Amino acid sequence: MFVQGIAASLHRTAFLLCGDWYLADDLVQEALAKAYSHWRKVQRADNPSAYVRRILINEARRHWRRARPADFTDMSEMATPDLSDGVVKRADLLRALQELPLRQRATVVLRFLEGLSERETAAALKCSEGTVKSQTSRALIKLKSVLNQGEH
Amino acid sequence: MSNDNLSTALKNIVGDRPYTPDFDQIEDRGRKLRHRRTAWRAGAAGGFAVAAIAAVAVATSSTGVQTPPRDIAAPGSATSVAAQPPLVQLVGYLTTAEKPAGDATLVLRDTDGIKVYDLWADNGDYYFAKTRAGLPAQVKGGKNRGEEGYRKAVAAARLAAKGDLTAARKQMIGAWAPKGTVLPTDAPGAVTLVPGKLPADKGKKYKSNLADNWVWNNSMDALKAGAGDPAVRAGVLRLLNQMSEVKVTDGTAGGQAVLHLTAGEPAMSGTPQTLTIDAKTGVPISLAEGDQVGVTYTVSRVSLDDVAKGSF
Repeated sequence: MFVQGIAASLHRTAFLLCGDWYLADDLVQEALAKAYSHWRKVQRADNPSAYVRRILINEARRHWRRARPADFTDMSEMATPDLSDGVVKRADLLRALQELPLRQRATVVLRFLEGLSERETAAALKCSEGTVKSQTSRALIKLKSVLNQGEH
Repeated sequence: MSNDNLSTALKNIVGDRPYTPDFDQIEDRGRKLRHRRTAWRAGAAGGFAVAAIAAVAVATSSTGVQTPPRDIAAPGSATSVAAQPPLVQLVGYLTTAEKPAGDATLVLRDTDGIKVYDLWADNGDYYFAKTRAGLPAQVKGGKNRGEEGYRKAVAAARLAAKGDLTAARKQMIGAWAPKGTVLPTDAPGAVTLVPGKLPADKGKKYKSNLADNWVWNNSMDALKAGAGDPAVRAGVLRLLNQMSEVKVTDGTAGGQAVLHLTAGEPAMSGTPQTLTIDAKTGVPISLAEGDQVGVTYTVSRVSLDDVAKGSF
């Protein structure tokens, strides 16, 4: 039940972390397998969901070191509501997201996709709430800067 | 750019894509991970890692004078068997080597700079400390952490050293298996093609030999717990030598001759593992998994009484 409840959320997070649905499939499978192999620790954790998210993010980090750049061409024609009252293509946003360091990317995804609080995000990333704040702030500055590049 | 807009944009990107995890695959993979971890667990800082240069230790006597332990000393010229593969030569030497003095093996385990101490008693007891100075209290306090799986793996290796490889392999496969487990029976090196279960692997087939996987993992356990006993090392090497997917290459590390034993498919699915041993003594030097940071071992013989007294 726990896995069923968290799987879809992990899958979404994994996709935004790596930019590839197939790799996201693999990352989630591996993260859940690792959670299974550490099941007692998961059960004992103050926040089991945060524990499993942390495994996923570590998996993403491990894969990212040797991953090829994600291919966003298949998304290039799809548009999404703009961040600044204009039109921004999904591929642009996804690409901008991928240009962030993994920790900042994870912070943005957990905060703004999954709607986690700063405290929950800090638990998932095993860092302080202050770090979440600063990472979020830096990420938003960079995202805005990258996304604005195409407007001039 | 408002936070709400960003949130909406991200949600639009991921959409409502359905996703159902492959529970069978998760369970299967999770069990394998646990098994592998168990097989290499010893105290607080287990794990695989990159092989760095490791010295084969010399035992320190109670007087503080370092002398080479008998089992770790070089086997001599052995010219009559020079034509044999190095692993076979090594097994031949180990089979006749005497067990060295002492009743326990001390292993300094270094995982990427994190050093911890494992003390494996010949009777199967096991003590762990984060520092060398911490070991006496563990022994004096009777803080034995020995586990049946290690004892069984060591016993299987000793049996293999005596010659009954079929029985020894079966015993090694089952070293950590709970009672009632149906053990895999694949022949050494036999290949079974299994379909990939991950979504990205659909249609692919992988080489598998679960029995070899368990023999390899449990042999690593036996080799670590019985590193000070030439019979255990001989037995482990005999069992690994049966598996055609274990490739042996020679090399040097820190100026000493070593053998690298690398297990790939079908024993290992995915990343191969490489065990490095001293070419003349079979003492384990390091274990690495792919390009991950590794574990190195420094092995010496001691007596439990000396450790308890702090004079080792």
